[in-house]
Amino acid sequence: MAQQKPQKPVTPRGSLATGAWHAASSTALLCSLLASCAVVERENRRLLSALDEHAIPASEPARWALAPIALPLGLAAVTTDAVIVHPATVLDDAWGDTVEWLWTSRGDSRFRRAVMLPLVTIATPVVFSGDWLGRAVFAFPPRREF
Amino acid sequence: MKFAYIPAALLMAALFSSCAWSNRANRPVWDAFEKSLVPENNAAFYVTLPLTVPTGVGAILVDTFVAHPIQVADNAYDDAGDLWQDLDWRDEYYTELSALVFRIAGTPLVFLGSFVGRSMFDFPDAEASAAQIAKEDALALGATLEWLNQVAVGRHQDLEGASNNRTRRFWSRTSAEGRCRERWSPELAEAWGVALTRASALGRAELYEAARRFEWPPLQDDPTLALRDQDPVLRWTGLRKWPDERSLPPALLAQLLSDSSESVRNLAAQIQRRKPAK
Repeated sequence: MAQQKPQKPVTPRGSLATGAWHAASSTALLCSLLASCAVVERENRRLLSALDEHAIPASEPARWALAPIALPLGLAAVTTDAVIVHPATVLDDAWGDTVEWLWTSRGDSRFRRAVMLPLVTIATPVVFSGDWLGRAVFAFPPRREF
Repeated sequence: MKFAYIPAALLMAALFSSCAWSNRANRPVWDAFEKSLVPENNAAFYVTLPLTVPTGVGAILVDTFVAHPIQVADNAYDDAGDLWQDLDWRDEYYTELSALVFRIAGTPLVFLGSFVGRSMFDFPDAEASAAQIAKEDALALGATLEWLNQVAVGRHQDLEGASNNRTRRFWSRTSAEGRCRERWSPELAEAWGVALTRASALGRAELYEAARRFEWPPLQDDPTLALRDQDPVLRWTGLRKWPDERSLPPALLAQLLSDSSESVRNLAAQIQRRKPAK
């Protein structure tokens, strides 16, 4: 019969301090992430901005009356922006970044490009996915073409 | 496991130089004790050391755990209150509502974090904060001036996209305080005039939108500015955004009813039917 390793007793004070530290550091990390997340920028909240542009009641009493409906509607709009709309809109920027970083020649010779081709091919989905995820989550400036 | 405390101890030592106690203003009990109870006379100083040293340590502890936290409680309250400033219910109703949940959840966290942080470390006081705010306001005004100059040369972009949240927050706060006219310097007025004269239709659209949103004086002084623009799309947009509770001047309404653009004529007729011009 296998013998179980004796469990090291955890003192209540140690677990409380560890728990408090984990809670504090997680909260700080979450707050800093939220502060830089994509939907903090107005241009990345298309649905919510459309609601603000077209569906705001003109008078203050109407705004108060509509609040019980507008609150969940606004939350649904910003969630859709964060999870669906904004990630969809940055696909082209992510692809542009990938092409610029991996497939745009910077004076490399043909031979060098031929040798690097397998690596670049393997790296393409990795770079694209990472760039897309980063742009979808955080407020990176869009690629601008002049 | 005991060696895990070494990095924590080193961090504490590194942070000691910026801890609250390092600033004289943050140790009122110690200061009062040193001024009133520690003798100046050399002989008395050394004789009373066995009493003054432990009392001094007690004073430091009282400052650290009682007096200074009480000093910073109102600053922490103000920091948490900043989450509820500059709410634009008129133009960002849904945005502000959706952010309510986060604001409510974040308020106690911000208060607690600010209270603990300010209790432990030496954050700038109200005077230094006011100087910092003045500096940021000057940057926001400079960014606005630069934006107006860019619009004049055809680089049309909305004010928020061209600058950053700081400039938007500055003008939101300024218009909420009713201080736009006070902040609207002669340089801004001149840059506005040049931009309005030289900008393309798209640029003028951005100018009208910014002036409407932030209640800039040019549009406050002449609310019908957009309605008399040379571009029919801008006239139409200005009509669309015309407040329901405000009547159009009769002469201007007559002009819009005979506008060259059908959409402007139709919208003006709609407004006329909705509210008779006074």
